Amino acid sequence: MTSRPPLPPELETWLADHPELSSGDLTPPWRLAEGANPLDAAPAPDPARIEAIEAALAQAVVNSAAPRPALRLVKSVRPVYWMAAAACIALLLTVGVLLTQNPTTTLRAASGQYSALLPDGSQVWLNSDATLRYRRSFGNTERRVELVGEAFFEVAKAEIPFVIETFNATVTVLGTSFNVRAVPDDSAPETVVSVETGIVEVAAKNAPDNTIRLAAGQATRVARATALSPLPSVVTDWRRFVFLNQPLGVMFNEIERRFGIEIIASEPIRVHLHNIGTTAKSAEQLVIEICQSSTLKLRYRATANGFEVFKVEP
Amino acid sequence: MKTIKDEQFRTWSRRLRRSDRQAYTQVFQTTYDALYRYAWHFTHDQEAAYDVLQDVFMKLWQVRDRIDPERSLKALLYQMVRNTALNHVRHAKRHAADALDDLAFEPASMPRPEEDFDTQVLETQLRRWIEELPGRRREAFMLSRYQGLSHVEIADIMDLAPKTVNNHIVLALQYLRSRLLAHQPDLIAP
Repeated sequence: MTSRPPLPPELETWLADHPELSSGDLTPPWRLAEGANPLDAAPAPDPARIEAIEAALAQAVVNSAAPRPALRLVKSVRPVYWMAAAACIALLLTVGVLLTQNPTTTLRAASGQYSALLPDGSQVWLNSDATLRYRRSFGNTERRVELVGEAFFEVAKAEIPFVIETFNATVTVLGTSFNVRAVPDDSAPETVVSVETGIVEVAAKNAPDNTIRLAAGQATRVARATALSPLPSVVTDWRRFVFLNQPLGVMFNEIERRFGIEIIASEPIRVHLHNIGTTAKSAEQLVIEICQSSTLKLRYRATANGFEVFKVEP
Repeated sequence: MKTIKDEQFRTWSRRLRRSDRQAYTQVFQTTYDALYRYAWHFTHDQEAAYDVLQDVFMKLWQVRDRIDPERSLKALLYQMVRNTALNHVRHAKRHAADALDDLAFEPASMPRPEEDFDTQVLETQLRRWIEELPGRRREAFMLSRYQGLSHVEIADIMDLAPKTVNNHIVLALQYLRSRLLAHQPDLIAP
């Protein structure tokens, strides 16, 4: 009993004040308990998972870099129809507090992508400029989100259906992973749903009967007034940057959008078809990989706000 | 994590307020193991524990400019893990009963009297006795004994009065002492 680790100082102080209450010396149990930490029973953390978490955190930190965080958690009152608001304005003044009890949370990835865990345990990856909104009741009585832009979902299994509303479609699932692209500003606005695992139900908003069930590997497009039909999934996996037989210009556009930079390349280069699949994380890494893997013998150089990609003349 | 000085946490706290990414990474790398285990204590599910860890650190960065420099960063992290993990558990089970007391208690098989009390057996035995403690008492004891948190920090994390924390730890030690006395009196003898 030579090297007795001392008890915590607070405990020593207490013992000094209450010699009659401490039934015996508490040092031996304290000392003997050293190797008996119940938390050692926890399975050791998987280094790969820890690394993945670190990467996700680093990404979130980069996205939130100055001057304003790219990801903003906006607490806002749900938009109220103007007419109703006008009629109820006096009421609103008194019950305004009540309204704030069902605020929405808005996740927004300004540039780059952002991964977030929703309150029900579902994981979502937002592509650049995508916005996802849900109410506080999310996860309790309903699982409903509003999506503008592109996002990949891994929905946690639960009895409550997970519903994604886009500007023209409703996507309903119970627990699966799939991609939804709904960018209203696209030249031909449409909602594209591509399923990776599980079964997803898609409905057009203007015709609720117009629904379709998609299985893994299937996709569908909700455009103007067309019956929904299954297509082979053509998901260009933007989370991992995978493009199959696509023009380089499309890849450059995606890099530009994701990293908020500009890529200059001549027209012959832009239309050249190419495959790439990479986990490269930075714009420069992506450009390097494209240059190295293309048969065109491409080089690149940095410009003030991005890169220029050019062909080496023989 | 236990070996990291409070002064180091105070420095990290200040640097985090200035959006120092390096400090953020360092805090993660030095605390993730202990925090993951603490989360696991509530969830008993590895995936859930990883999620809790990620959520807590996401949140830490979001609130970095509001970190109270006077408050122990270590206590803040443990408290965030605790709340997030308990929310997770409440979510997982529909009823929001005191999740703590339902957890982690598996009745230990009775040791045979002739069993040898070598170190390993003693540790296994002590671990069982610690598991027998009521949920919150066990938690306070764990945080004090194995995470090196002060009573004030534990009070902060568990939302208790420091005096209550003291009581929990004294009662936990008295319980372990009585168990040791019954099984192996010579270990207790002065």
